[in-house]
Amino acid sequence: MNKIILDKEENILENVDGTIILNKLVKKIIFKGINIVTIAKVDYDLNLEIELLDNSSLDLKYFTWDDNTNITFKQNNNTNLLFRKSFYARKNSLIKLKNIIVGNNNKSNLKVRAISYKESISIDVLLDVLNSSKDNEVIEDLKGINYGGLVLIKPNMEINTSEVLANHYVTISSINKDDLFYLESKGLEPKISEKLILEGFLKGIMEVKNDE
Amino acid sequence: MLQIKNLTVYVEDKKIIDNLSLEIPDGEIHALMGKNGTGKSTLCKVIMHDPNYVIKSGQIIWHNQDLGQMDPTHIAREKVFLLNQSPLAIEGVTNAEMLRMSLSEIKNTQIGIFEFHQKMQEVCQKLGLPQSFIHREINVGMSGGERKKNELLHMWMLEPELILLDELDSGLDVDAIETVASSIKEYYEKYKPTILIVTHHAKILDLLNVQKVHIMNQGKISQSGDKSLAMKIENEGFAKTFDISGLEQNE
Repeated sequence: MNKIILDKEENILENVDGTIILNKLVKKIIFKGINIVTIAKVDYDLNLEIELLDNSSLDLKYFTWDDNTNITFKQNNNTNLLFRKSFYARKNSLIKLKNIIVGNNNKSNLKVRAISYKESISIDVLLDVLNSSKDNEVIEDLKGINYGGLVLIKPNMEINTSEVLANHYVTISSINKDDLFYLESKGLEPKISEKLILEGFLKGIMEVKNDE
Repeated sequence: MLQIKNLTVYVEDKKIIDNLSLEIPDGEIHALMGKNGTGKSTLCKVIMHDPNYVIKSGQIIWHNQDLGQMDPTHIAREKVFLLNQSPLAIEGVTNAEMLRMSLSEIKNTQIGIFEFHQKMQEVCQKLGLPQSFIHREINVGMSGGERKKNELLHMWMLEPELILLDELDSGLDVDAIETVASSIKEYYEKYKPTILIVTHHAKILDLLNVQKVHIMNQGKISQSGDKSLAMKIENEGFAKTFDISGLEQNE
């Protein structure tokens, strides 16, 4: 964690368990080396620039309620970015993510899981792979559950080079009735089954899977 | 005893089960065979009251209650367990989390964490599963064989008295079939549950010592017999066994 470079270092707090607490004044974080970071206690609208220097990796994850998020990533050369955000919205919210791939041999995986409770969530993602770059792998993995509200997802990719491997997965659905039946058939009440499914949906991407 | 009386089931406008009756005495293992699409898997799901199916008439009696009038939660609490042909994966929910909650609900008491973990470890060992399965997300990232074993882990933990095994042997290699069959056999010898097994293969019936075989055709039980009936089907196929190939040609 000592590899984080900030515009103003006094605006970031690091906990022993690896979580960081950001101050509203933090507008830009530059990472170098290997970084596994959980952002804690985001109780304001996050507006941030994150840059990965050459040969760096960043595994950044966090969970929020009701925030508006605007993050712009920049990846240089030989970097690896895994971004995971779980989100439960009880009011109208906007998540804007942009990743600019400027160099070569980078990997980017942007994962968002969002549940809209009564209100609407708009998730705008833009992957911008510049024309001078090559050998990059980019993934957008965005899923939403309409739980009385509405999730809107715009998965954009601006690919300006042919030397890139790009994939995007987008799913918006209600709670899966077959999943509910499965848990109920193991003896759980419908309300508890529903709660487990929703929590599991948000928690699922927080676990590091073997393929990552 | 499981008693199914004159059961008729629809999916939307399509009749899947047509006035079917079947009885399985307590502690017996019966097999259900038949061509694809004859309603075997549907019957298992209907017993568990899958809301995708509508019971138009008939009854499913277990423990003196009509399961057709109960929801899946309460059917499970009557010690009924369905092992699906393709068990679902539930992202973010672990085996331990679900099973501990289920057991608390079923037994209506808090389950001690030490006792629970000890039993989970024993069952994993019995099934040849690594201990990490205790805290794995339900069926997520598991192969077909691992999913079936994971469901058996649930079975051992929940200790059902009526077990519905829907194509337990599908997608399993020969060794895996023997492993799961021996686990069910061990469970049967310990708890003497009532079992209905849906299968296309006689091999698993042999391994489980099935008492009776029922053949399902067009939503009905068309014939019942002992294991030799399954062997005949395995050797000759449904068409020849029931001499329906001629009918198909005439049509």
